[in-house]
Amino acid sequence: MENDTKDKKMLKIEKLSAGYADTQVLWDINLSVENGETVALIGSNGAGKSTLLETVIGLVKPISGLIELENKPVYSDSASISIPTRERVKNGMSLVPQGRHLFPNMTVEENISLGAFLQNNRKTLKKELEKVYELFPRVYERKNHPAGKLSGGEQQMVAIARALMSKPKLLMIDELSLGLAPVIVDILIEIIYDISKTGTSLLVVEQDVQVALSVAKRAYVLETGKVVMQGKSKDLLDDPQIQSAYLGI
Amino acid sequence: MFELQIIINGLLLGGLYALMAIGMSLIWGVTNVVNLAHGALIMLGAYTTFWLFKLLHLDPFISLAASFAVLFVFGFLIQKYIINFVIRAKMFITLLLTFGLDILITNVAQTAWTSNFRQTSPSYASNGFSYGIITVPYVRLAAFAISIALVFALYLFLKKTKTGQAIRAVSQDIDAARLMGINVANTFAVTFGIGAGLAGVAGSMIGVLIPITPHMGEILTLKSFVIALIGGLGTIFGPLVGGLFLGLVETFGSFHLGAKYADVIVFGILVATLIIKPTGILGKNNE
Repeated sequence: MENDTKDKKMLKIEKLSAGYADTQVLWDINLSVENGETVALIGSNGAGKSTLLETVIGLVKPISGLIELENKPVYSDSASISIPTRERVKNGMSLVPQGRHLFPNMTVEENISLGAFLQNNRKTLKKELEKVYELFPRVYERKNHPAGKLSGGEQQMVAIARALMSKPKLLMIDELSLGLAPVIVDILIEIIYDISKTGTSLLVVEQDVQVALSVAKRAYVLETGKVVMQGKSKDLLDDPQIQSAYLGI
Repeated sequence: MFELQIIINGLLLGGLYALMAIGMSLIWGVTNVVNLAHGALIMLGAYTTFWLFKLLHLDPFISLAASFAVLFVFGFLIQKYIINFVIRAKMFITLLLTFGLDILITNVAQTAWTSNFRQTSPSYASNGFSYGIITVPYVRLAAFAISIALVFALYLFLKKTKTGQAIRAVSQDIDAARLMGINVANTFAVTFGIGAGLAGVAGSMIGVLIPITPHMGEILTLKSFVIALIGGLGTIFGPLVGGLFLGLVETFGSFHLGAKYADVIVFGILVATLIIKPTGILGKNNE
């Protein structure tokens, strides 16, 4: 390899195709996230952004292609490798799913603790809990509430807190700001910066292009299941196509 | 005073009903499988205790631990190697599958053990204590106490242990449970194992009270189904309330109206529940 370990890729996706039953959703996707990098995935409704994240974590079965985490395949059709979601989580992937998917009848703390399901040490669990409560003081105030009763913004914070409990190297967030008040979105953007500062790589799906391009240095544009554009966020912001399609300029 | 005796009889029976149904309710709530072989599992528990009593003279209240273990393993294997293959199919398929399992288990039992009536009858089976004209048989009291204790033990297990949390997580959101790293297929199997194990314990104790036959499970499946529904699915104490309720109603009904009407009342209540409060007594209405 010409890359030395320092810039080994966190996530590499090559010629990935995937879909459900008889509908193919993703076509020959190539995408990568460098170590410590925050990358945004933008595109309109139905472009396949959620499917892509779900395929990476293993909830959706690919048709063909390659997915590598830290240069190790988690899926490869040529090598017939496909490891289950729990192994991918163990190896450092974590997903905040669209719609949060909290366990509605459990308390906030029970939800967050389940994020550390694969960690076996009760002592470290306490420490990790303290860490995420520090990041989300609002969540701490609500720790004994049933998760189903929280507001959308609070639920999103719990979902991110829960995803952080497995100490991911690659954190994927599906729709960071969808349906949330601008004040909350600002808080979440700050939190994304904080998470990124700890060295965690992020892949963020975001419909709001301005939000997306403010958290990420680099972005991919997905349209009907294909990557149609990619580049540095500031270049994309200046791109006339992006401006007319997503920014309404 | 007769009424008081009926209430006591009803509650004692109801506790056992609750234990009988809680396994079905658990399996239903977590895996979304309505296990039509539930009564057959209860029957296997009854035979396990009967044979241990007959051949090894093991006390039925001791051998119910063996009954739990045998049925847990049996249930675990059924889910892992049979039901898990169709778990994503429509409910009709799993209904059909467990219906087939029920017929299979019942007929194998009949071939192996004949249809002769049997009963686990320890020497103390007819003992009890009296207070005035109230009589409480020891075995019914013990069955009641053990049943209630196991319902609370299940509650604590689901709340406090890691496996219990995995089961609750899977019951609330399967995809999210996967994202936490939970092995959903294994969790299903463990859940089915626990449900079957509890059915086995219930069977062990039922076999002391009523005759054991290979077909005894058929009506017990129906009763478990009714209790699970009227108590409220997806709640831990729903089957307890449903079981006590059914025990009382059945005992009152058969005393005042005659035994042949007991089932009419039971299923009448089911229909009424489905009309008035489809989510059951303790079930939450969907928001």
